[in-house]
Amino acid sequence: MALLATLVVVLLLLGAMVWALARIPATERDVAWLAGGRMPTDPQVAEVYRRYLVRHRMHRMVGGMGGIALATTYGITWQGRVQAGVGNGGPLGDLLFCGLAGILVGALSAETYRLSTSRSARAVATLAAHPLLERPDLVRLARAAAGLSLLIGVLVLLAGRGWTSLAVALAGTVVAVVGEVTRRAIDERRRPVLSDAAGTVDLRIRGFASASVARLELAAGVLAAAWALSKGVPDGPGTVPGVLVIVLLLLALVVVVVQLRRASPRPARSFVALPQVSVAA
Amino acid sequence: MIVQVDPSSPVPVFEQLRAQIERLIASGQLAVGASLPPIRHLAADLNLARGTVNKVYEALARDGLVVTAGRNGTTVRSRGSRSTTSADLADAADGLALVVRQLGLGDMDAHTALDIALRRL
Repeated sequence: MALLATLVVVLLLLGAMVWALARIPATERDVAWLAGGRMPTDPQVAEVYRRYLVRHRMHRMVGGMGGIALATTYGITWQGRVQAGVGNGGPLGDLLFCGLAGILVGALSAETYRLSTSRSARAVATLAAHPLLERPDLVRLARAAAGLSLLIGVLVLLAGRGWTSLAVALAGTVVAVVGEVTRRAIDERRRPVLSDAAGTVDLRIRGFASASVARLELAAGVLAAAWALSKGVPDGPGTVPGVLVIVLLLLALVVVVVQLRRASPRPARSFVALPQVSVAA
Repeated sequence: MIVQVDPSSPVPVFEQLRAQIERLIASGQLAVGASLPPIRHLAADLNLARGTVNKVYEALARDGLVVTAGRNGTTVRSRGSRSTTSADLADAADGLALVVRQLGLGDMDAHTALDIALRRL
C-alpha cells in the first residue's frame, strides 16, 4: 500500500513538473502584463521583461518542486503519509507548507541573481529619493500573522497539547524571514539612472517582485498561524468554539491559496493585452 | 542629482563621493532639508562597501553640511561656507583642455566630447 502511495505521489510530481516546465516560456501576453498592459515597442525592453519572467518562473518552479519533494520524502519516511495544508503531522511533511517555502526560496534566488559586474567599473547613482517597495500593508499583516502563530504555539504548548504548534510557528517564522530577506534584496538592487527606459523597466519589475514576495510572505504567515491554531481546537470539532476554529482554518486556507495565485509571475486569465502603440516615423 | 565614482581613478572613491555631494549641496541642488539616500541604497547603487558611504556621510556631518538622525536618515543641514561652484567648473574645464591638448586634438573634439558627456547624464 505504501509503495503504491509513493508511486502515485511520484507520478503526480512528475506530471506537475512537466506541466510547470511547459508554462515557463513567457509569451507576448505575459510580457505585456509585466510591462503594465501593453507590449513594449522596443524589442530590447521586451527581452528584459521576458528574461526576468522566465528566470523567475524557473527559480520558483525548482524551489516549489524541491519543497514538495522534501515534504513527500519526509512525510512518507517519517510520518507514513503526506498532507496538504493544516494537519496533524509536522510542517516538513506538508506539501502546501514546503511548496510555499520552496517558492519563496526560489523567489529569493531569482531576485538575488546578478550579472557579474567588475568592481573596478565606473558606477553612477542618483541621490533622488528611491520609491518605496509595493504592498507594505501585506508585509505588516504577514509579520502580525507570524507573531500570532508564535503566540498560539506557546499557548498550545503551555496547555499541554504538544509542541507541533510551536514547531509550525517557528517554521512559518523562518519562511517569513526568507520573505523579508528577499524584499531587502529587491530594495537594494542597483538602479539604472542614465536611461529612462531602463528606469521604467526597473520600476515595473521591482514593483511586481516586491508585491509578489509580500503576498508569499503573507501566505506563509497565515498558513503557520492557521496550523498553530488547529492544534488548539477546544473539546473536539463538535463544539461552538471548535466549529469557529474550523471556519477560521478554512478561511485561512482560502487566503493562502488566493495569495499564492496572485503572487504568481503570470497574468490572470482575464488579462487582455492592450494594442501596441505605433511610433510615428 | 547624479553622482559617479571611478574605482580606477587615483582619487580615492571616498574623496570622489564626498566632493560630489559637497558640490551638490553648495550649488543648492541638494536643498537644505533634503534627504540623502540610505547608506545601503547608495552603497548598492555605486557598488561600494557600506563603510565607505558611511565614512562619507560622517565626514559631511563633521563639516556641518548634513545631520544624521537615526532611523530618520541623513538630511542636508546647511549649504556650508563653500561657494566655489564656478571655480570647480573652471578647474574641470582646465583638466579637459589639458587632456585635449596632450592628445593633440582640436577645440571641436573637446566640444563634441563635452556634449556627449552632458547628454549621458
